[in-house]
Amino acid sequence: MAVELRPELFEPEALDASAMEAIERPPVTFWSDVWRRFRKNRLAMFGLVLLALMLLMAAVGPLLTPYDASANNWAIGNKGPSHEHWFGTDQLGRDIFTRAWIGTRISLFIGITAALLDVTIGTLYGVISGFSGGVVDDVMMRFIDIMYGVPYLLLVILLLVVVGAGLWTIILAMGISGWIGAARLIRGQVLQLKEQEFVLAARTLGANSWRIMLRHLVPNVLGFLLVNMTLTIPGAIFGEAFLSFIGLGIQPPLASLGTMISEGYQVYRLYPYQWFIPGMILAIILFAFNVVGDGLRDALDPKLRQ
Amino acid sequence: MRKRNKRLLSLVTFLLLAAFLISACGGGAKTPASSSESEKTGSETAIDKDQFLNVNLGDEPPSLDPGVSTDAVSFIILNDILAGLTRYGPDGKIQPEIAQSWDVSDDGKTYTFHLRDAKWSDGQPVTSKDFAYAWKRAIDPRTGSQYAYQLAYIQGAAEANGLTPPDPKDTKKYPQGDKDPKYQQDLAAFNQQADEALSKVGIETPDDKTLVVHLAQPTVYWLGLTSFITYLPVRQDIVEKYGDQFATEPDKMVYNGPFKIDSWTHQSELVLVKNDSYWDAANVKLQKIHFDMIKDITTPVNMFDAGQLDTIGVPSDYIQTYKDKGILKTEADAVTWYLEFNIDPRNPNKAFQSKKIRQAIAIAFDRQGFVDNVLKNGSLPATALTPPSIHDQEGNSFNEKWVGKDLFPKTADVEQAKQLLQEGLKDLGLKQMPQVTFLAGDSETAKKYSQAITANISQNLGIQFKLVNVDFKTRLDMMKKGQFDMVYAGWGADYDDPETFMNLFDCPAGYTSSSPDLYTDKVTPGDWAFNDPHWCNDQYTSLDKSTQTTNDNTARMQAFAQMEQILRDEVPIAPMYWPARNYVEQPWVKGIVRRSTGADTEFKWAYTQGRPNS
Amino acid sequence: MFRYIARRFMLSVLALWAIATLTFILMHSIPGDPFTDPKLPEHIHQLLLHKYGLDKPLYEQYLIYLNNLLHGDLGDSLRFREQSVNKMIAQGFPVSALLGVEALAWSVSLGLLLGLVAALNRNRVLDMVTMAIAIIAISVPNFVIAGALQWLLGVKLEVLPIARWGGIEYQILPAVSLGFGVVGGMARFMRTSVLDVITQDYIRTAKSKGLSAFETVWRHVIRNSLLPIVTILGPLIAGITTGTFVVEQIFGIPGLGKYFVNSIYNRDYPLIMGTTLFYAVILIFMNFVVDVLYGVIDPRIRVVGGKEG
Repeated sequence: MAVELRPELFEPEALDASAMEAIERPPVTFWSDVWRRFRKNRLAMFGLVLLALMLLMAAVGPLLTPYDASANNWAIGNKGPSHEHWFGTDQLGRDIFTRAWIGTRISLFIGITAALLDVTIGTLYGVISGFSGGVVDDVMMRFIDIMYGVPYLLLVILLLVVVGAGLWTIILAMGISGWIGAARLIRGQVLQLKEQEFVLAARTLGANSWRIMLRHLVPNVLGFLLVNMTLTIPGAIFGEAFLSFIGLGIQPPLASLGTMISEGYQVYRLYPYQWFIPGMILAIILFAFNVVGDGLRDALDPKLRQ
Repeated sequence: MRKRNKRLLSLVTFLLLAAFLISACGGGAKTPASSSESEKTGSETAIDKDQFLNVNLGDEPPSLDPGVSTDAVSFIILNDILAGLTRYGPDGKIQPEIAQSWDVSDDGKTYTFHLRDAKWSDGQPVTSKDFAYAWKRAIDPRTGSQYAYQLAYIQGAAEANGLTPPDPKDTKKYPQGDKDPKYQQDLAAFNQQADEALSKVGIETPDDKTLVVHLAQPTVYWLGLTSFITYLPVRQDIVEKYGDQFATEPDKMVYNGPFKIDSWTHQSELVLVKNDSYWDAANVKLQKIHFDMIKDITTPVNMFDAGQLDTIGVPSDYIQTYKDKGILKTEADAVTWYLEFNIDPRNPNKAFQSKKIRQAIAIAFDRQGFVDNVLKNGSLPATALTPPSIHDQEGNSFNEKWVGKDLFPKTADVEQAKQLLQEGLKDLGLKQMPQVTFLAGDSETAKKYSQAITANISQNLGIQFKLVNVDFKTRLDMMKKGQFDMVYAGWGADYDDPETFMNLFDCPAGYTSSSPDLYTDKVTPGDWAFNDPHWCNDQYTSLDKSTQTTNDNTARMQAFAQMEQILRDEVPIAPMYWPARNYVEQPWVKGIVRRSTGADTEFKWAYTQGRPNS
Repeated sequence: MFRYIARRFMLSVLALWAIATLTFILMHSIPGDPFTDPKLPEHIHQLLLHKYGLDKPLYEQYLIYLNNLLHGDLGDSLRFREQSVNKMIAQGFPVSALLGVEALAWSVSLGLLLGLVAALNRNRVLDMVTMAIAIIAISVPNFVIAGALQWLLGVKLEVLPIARWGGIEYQILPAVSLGFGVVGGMARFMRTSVLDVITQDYIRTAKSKGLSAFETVWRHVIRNSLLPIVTILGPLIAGITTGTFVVEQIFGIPGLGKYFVNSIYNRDYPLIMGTTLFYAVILIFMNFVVDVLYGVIDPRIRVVGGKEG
């Protein structure tokens, strides 16, 4: 029996344009893709966990003991680790556990703030230079060439002797010496990116230069910056440790890991735990930042996908 | 398999890290090399054949020109290579050196030195003219000698040294600067004036073997100063031959001391060898001293433990180690560390205008606890300004004999301190104690001590401190400019008499406490000199003046003791501690003499006995 | 090429002038002066300042300094009387440079080897072990390494001298301490560089042409990976051969490094200027050499007078 195909037999489906566009599975965005790859890197994940642990201890560590970080108790000076003082006491009888985590706090603060300062200046400079091109780029690059010949370490020491070593002056000193590398790298990235189609598209749609720079270029170099930062932070933390050694560390009674290590270095043969413990924390932090940075770089670079 | 490997790896990483760090620190220091061996040879009474010492100088000597030299490093070398009129002996008493004998006039103002036959290393005789030339050269303001004030006791020396050349920058006076004819004229006049003033200085050389010196006042401790670096002889012909290059290389100077420079690799090492033309060469046993210039604190300790240095000063942290080994030697130093209060009314922090608040802080500090638990090096709690190692004219400890009590308490008197603080604040109409800016040095030890001091006072009195740790020259500059509320400072004696400490806190010359200009810009930092608290007490100052015009021991010492009491009552400063000098020597080292003033380490009588393999 | 060099030279002179000016201003802003001393009477202090021309207006001192500089005269040290800064640099630089070259020789080659091994064994155990070593090497401060080595090998085992300067045995510990951080940095940099290269198409081409693994690595990977390394070598060489404060201080080495810090504390103005400018000259020169070398090695980059190439 033949069935006659009549229009009544058909029920028109309500057409929903947006539903048609719907994507069944969650989209694989750039960042989730990066995260997926990063997660596979066990060393990097280990670093991330360590980093989280260090941040946690910096936040709560000093609260775990009943001691004040700068209160002296001379009678119990230079005592090794015990159940009362988990990391022992220093020469003035201060609790090293408490001081070490406060020191971690300060070192991390110096590292992160200096890196932020670095990257911010560097990015602005690099993006403006790379995007503007022409004479502006030329002048800005010549300026960088000049800055490349500056012996920063010496100027930083001079500057700190002039203004006095303190938390913010050290951050500033670390910041001014690091931005040039970032600026050069960012400019290179921008030069590559600005030839790509999406920038041309934005331009045709009437976006002005600033908008293009902020909305399109910066997000595109963000990953790159993140890597740069994770590798700049250890540099700044390390730099502060060196400054401590030559007497230009953080102003006492505040202590950073760097000042604790250089205090401990004075007695390294007698009370090794006094530099070993802050030294170990410093090494763990630098290790963690470095492997996370490496992992992030690998994860961000699709070429290296396995 | 792979997973396990990675987990293993993270473990390995940390083990590696830990192993490395641990390998760097375990274990204690080793005893000085083979002490048994040295005992064996030590039993034979003969001294070693090969007589040499290895010593760390710590830095390049900045200047070996005795006229301009001012630092401890140069002093050690200069004291070895030059011989003055006198030299302190191993017993701490002044001994004849180039001066064979001397006469003192009855009024104590004229000294006549009779020189012995002595020769310079180039064969020339040492004459009284070498001394007269050296001293006048240092006094001459055109030389720019920093230590010329050590010669100011000589008649006319202070006047000559105080002459100031015309200032070409003074554009009001000299519109054309240094090319101004008026300036040229004034400069010529100044030169003439200086030459005249120098010729009037009380130094005479009747013949090559006699030196007559006239002092402005009967200064009892002056004879001791004739061993000081600035009083060493200088040869005019050598200075004129080499000009600015004088004493910059071993062959650009001559020697009349126990040793001469054999080689000098700048910034690295300096080697002294015995000077056979020294008058007392027969009593110098050492053939050679090798000086390193290592600045680090720990490296010399390591070198000593490995037997590569024969003696070192012990850094405070290592004192216990050597004490445990029983080889630590401690000697009192003629130094006092104290806190100074800024009591200049121009200082925005008014708290220290109150004597009671100053007293409160001075007695709230646990000196004994600090010395016992933090310093742990044989230092003493300072109960007065002048340390016990300073003597009266008869050789008694000034502090023990004439002060005789603890002016400042050894342990904190917290209750009284709190009460004084409250009373002081009330007097000033303050609700609470403002934060105190505490200035101190930036070395690891200065940082440690300043933290300990402020923490202790803060815990006892509840005062908030703002620590400012800066480098040496910045600190001096800030002290001069009054940029502090309190400062942690020290002073070392220039000579063995209480005056070297007591005159620090005199009123500026020509001013009294009632001078209306006292706290204005008319009184320059130069006028205040070493009086950093800007404290002016008329009784104190006139007592000090009285000690300069007499040589009566009792009168002078009683005046000094009274001045100590005024310091205790008025508290412009709070003495903290009297440091000790700590050092160790290898068992074979004999005869090095340590002193608390001038060149602090004397090698003339040093030798070795029982050095292994020698 | 000539135009390029002339242009670089002009820029370098400009850079040196800027550095000299900045350093001059900064160092005169530090409180105190070379003669600040607690026991120095004020009128003698003024006389000394006058004698060395330090009481002249700053701009005048600055012009005098620049004029002397143009004549190659760095002046005399104010701390170490009558020692000329030229001579001090001439004596200190060879020592620092020798030590620096030794340190770089072992650390750069080891670092490159570690980096190569790590990259070729990417994500395998060997990679992780070498990278862990590299990161540890970077993470331990210089003075801790130097102190530890000195104590272990000098005091405890007595196989090497603790300090002083002399023959090759005196150079081992400082050169090892100095190179430690470099190994880590080099290894990481090399690893990244090699990884970049081995994913390039021409390596795939080489492999598909049937070149053996060894041959590929030897002929293509290593050569191309070394290119970016050259860029970081410039500042590295400049930094290490002019001496480092920490290592020279700990081992008592008469190099340039200790002046960088001590001259500032002594307010030794001519020495501060001299060492800073000398370092800057070496740095600028090394950067220049690197840029030229880069052009020679990598034909894609032309060193011509044009724009950034």
